[in-house]
Amino acid sequence: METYDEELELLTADEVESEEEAEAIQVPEAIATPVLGPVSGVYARPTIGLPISLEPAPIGIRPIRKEEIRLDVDGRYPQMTVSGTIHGYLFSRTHWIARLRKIGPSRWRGAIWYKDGAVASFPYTAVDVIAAGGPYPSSRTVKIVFSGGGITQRTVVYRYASAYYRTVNFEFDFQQGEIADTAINTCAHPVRPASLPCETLTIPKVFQRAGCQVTTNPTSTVPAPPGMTWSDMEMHDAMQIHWSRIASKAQWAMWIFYASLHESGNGLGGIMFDDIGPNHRQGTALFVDSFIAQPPANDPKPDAWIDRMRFWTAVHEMGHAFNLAHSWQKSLGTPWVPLANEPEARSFMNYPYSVAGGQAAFFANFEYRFSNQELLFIRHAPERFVQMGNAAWFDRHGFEEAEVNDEPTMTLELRVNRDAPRYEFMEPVWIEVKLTNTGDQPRLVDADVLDADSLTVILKKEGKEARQLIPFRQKCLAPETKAVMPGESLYGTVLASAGLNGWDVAEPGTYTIQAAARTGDEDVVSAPFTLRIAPPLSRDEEYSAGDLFTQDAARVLVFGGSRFLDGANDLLQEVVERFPERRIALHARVALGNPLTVDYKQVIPTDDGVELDVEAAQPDEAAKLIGPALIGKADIAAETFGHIRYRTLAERVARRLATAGAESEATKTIDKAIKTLDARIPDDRPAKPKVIADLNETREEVAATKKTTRTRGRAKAKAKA
Amino acid sequence: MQLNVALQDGFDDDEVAIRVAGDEVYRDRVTTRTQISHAADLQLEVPDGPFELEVEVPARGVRETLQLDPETQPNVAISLLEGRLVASYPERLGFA
Repeated sequence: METYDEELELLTADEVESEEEAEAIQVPEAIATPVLGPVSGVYARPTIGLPISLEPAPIGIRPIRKEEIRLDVDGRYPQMTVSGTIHGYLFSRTHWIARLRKIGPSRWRGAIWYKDGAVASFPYTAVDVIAAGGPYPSSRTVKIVFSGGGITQRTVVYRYASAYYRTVNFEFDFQQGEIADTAINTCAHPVRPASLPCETLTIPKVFQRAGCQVTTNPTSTVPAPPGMTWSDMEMHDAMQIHWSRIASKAQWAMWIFYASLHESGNGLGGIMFDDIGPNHRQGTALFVDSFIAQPPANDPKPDAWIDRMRFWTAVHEMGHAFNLAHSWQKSLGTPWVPLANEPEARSFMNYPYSVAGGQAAFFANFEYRFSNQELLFIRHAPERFVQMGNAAWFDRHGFEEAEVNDEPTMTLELRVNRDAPRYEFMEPVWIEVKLTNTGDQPRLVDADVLDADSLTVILKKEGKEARQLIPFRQKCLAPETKAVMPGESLYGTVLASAGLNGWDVAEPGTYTIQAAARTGDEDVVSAPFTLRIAPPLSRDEEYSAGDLFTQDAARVLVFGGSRFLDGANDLLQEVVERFPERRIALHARVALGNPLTVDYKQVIPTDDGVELDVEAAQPDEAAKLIGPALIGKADIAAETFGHIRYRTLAERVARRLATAGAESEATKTIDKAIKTLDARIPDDRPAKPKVIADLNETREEVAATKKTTRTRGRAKAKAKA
Repeated sequence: MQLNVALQDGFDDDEVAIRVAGDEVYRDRVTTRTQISHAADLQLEVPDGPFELEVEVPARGVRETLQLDPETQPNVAISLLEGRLVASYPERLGFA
């Protein structure tokens, strides 16, 4: 592999002025020494080996895995822009871009005009950028003060990482017998800008000047196809065979194929043919014997004209692989930001013969570059928009940044305890999560690795953007590890329906859910799990859903009840009365009854501070509410809550009822759970014998609690006597 | 005389009809392949002097009539943009 690390021909920052005005913001005075030399490039926040917190922290991206910025204020074609990406674990990230105005030596200021990702949790509106350090890049730092958005300023110092914004690998392969150069003498043709420097320009150098560090692979020769012309499918097959970097994933790499002719004929000079399969934009081709090898009749230097057109075509197709559209197409489709068409641009992405005055007018002003809005895209757009092989967000690459082990030793499975993953309308979706050590060595994992706030769970409704589940409960616990032996599994449950984002899995339709667990340095990613929510059965249900799909109702369901959120309790009571045969009624019954099983403590504000109010348990009322769900419809309860949660609920309720004196109901609850789980075999998976054994132990415990309660009651009576 | 016509951007399974001096010479369903800005290209036999080229996308209710002289405008590129048929006259037709 060859690396291009040539001198970057950088201008110094102080030589670049911007005419852009930025909004005035309050920032601290600069204290750093101005930098000698160019400062553009990528800077990264120092890693300290562990997740670091960010305050005020975007909740969707906490903890931060890495953070980097791209400062673009000097060097080739400066865009007077700084952009940044904050990566949380796996999926979550925030991407921002600010336009800069120079306000002093090595200092710029500007407004953030673009945000992507967890934007609601990144409220800043402006940046103040100060570069510092010596003449050696490694000593350079950039301090950014983020402000605006109505919150406290945030100051971060980033260290120099690279002069390039992207790193990309090219492989140029040639059809047997075809010879074309990937370099050009810029002054070989007399029709050119008078100021154009004469040099040998290579394709890698063009992309270096666009901000990419380029590596190349050795070329290989591709046999000519029968008939000597290529179809798109034949080129795609050739790419599979001959490209040394072929992979079914997004990667910063592309294959450039120099072929003779496309089957469509002489009129196709080149094509980014790779819109086949799930990973687009990895393969491009140019057809060296097509019209690009046919100079105008009176061209003064036909050979140089051909070389230049081939060079232009190769870079043009490679630009498509970076997701750049034609210059006159910028406003079509779904541009990443509103873009203006540039029909007269002297860019690699424009057709030379389509501008006013034709190809001669184009090349008379062509400086072998991309336009500024194209450079902005290549350097600063979110990675997934630019990177080869990437696709629409999450449509095919839910966890593009997961650090997945090539030979995973753990697996993560999402499942439900029902024959088909179909849910009634309004039925809360509880998903079971199973993490298994499939390796031959014990693995240490966080004890809470399968808690909802430790997992990364992505929810995607068909035809909609993917969203990350943000659980209501965000724990802050001292780290505790657990050994998982070979073949052993850990289990957890997650309410997928709702979180701080709202009710993400509620409307009728098809949903795909995917989860990832962090185990040490490795991300274990589940296979996508698809489920369906049925439409409402009546207009009545539709109306009630509007009330149910609220934050308070979701909180009551996920936390197993509340005596404080009266509005939500009233709503759940109404659900029980109006829809007794629907599964949501079972969830409502448990949520309403559960707080009544124990003495319920509330902190009440008073004039002097606070006081603790304790409401006594109401076991009979609790049993009336919960019994019809966990006992009366035990089989449905096991299905709708899932076996793990059903068992947890049954054991908890039984213990509490027994303690509160509802002995008969406690016994019935646990007995029914044992009988139900022992009989159920969803998806050919009977309950493990250990589960039944543990439940029997709980039954004995409950019985012992009953005995203790009676004894204590008699003793109390004696004392009174 | 020959006229080179290219249907370029904005076509999505659209039936396009082309008439030369009132006579229909082309009717087909076309879709743009955006990476080469190409839906179809054709060579039409046209009068030697100025004539009317009519392009219609019936299902979208759009039609455009162009006054052309193939001597000076041998290439016509037509795109369907924002509900309108837009013509340009490149020096040469080729795609990449």
